[in-house]
Amino acid sequence: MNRKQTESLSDEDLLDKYKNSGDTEYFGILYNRYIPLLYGVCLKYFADADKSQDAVMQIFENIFPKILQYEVKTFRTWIYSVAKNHCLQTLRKAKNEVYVDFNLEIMESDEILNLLEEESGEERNAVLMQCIDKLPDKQQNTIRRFFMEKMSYQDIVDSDGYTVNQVKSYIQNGKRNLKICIEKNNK
Amino acid sequence: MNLLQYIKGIRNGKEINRLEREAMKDPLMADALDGFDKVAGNHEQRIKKMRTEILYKTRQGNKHILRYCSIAASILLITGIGGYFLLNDNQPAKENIAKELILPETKQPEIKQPETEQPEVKQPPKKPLLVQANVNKEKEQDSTPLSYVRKEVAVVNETIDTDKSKVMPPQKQRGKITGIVVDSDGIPLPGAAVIYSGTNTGVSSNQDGFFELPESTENEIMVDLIGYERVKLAVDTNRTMLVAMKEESAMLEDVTVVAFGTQKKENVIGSVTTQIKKDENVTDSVSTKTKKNVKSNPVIGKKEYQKYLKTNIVMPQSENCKGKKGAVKLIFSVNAAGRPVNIRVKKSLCPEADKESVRLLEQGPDWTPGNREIEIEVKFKF
Repeated sequence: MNRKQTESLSDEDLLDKYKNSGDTEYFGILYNRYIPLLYGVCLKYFADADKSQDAVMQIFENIFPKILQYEVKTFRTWIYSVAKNHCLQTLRKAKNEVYVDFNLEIMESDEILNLLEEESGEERNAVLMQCIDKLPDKQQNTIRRFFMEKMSYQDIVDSDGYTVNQVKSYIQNGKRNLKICIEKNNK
Repeated sequence: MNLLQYIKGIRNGKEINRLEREAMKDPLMADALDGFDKVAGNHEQRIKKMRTEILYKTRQGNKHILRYCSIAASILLITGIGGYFLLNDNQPAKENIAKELILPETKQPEIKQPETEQPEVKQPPKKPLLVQANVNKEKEQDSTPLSYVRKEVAVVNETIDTDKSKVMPPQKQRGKITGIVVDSDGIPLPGAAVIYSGTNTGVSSNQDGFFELPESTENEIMVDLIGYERVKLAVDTNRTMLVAMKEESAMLEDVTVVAFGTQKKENVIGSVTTQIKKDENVTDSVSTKTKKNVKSNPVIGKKEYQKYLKTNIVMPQSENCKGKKGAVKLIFSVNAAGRPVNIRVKKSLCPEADKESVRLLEQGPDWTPGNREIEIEVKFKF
């Protein structure tokens, strides 16, 4: 197996290769791609490195024998839900009631994100720029820093003296306010 | 991959901003970043270890079937040097199928077939395609009879070694050897010299610790890497060989040459210290070989612990210590709660520096419980 070639393959291509050739290493390569992400997800749930490592290996053991029986359309979303379920089940078994459904978090303001992501300062949506100007100072500042100056949360913390949580909430509130503002102006 | 930067603890820069923006659209990424924010530790090392293990497992997955076929075909099973002969296959069905397919081909009437202890469960193959493909491969390789060494677990230690090697019949090996060199934590070691003992034929392990030796009639390979103890082990062409190397600084214990999955925990643990002192007071009637020797390690990992020492050290300003440079050596044990106890100064620098070293240790991060004394060095530079 040429390893360099497999790097450019998509998740689904790798699965197909495994399916067609029976070579389990293809699946190993695919799973390895996701280990950092899955491990991070488990860390979020367990807040414990050992437990998370066990979970990542256990998830592999669980799906490895039967992966070909599943109809996996998008591996990324599939493995994400498998991992989350595994973590939640493990926590429930341990009667550890303390968990939060993290999924309620903000993934809603996509259109705002898309507007903010657009490059080329000149043509940036005029309404958007107007709305940003209207934001409270701190929100305005962090939004500009994060989306235009491409500073990381920590960069903003370092330069402006907020805490990470403050930065995150300014950005979140800023996005929400922008959405409201833009909707108003578009009417 | 930028995520690895994030995992290493880097939180500044445009790349990180890109990751954070990505997380706004991708819940998987968002969760993962939250996780890494939440728990500190040497995640990079854990990830490396997991990746090695997965790769090993999935490569082994292919080899499994090959191995069963080859056993069936050759019929001859020899226990390896100082090894334990284990036959705890999880996949009896596959072996039986393999046997049925291959047996008519074998031409070794003079050799007795040892009874395997497999339950005679006959099941239709679950993945006929897979088995068939590998069986064919095996047939090509196996046109002549061969003897096989089968070693599930070989714990090489020098005392047993010499006894049994005399009993061993000479073996001929054929086919190239593949394997992976890892450290005691399972992290791949690149650049290790892998040669056939007593020859100049050799290769070095690649970036991922893998190596491939050309075929030879030699029976033993030798693996060397600076800073690690030399490992010698019998050639095994049937599987990807796993060579676990031990850091040289540690005491001479059993060299761990163990297959994945059966490696004993106490052998896996590395050491933070430059020197580990074996407990000299062990005078039990039980020999030290059988006694469980569990080495303690900082829970946060060696590197993080070093970092802790570096960042928290307060340089003593007293007259006594002026101009003194060097290290304080401490010896201690770790109790069940993971705290260092019975701390003694082995090598003193000056009273204040000694005191500071003890403070650092006492107030520092937890250790994994163990029953061996640990020695650490705290360096002072004025």
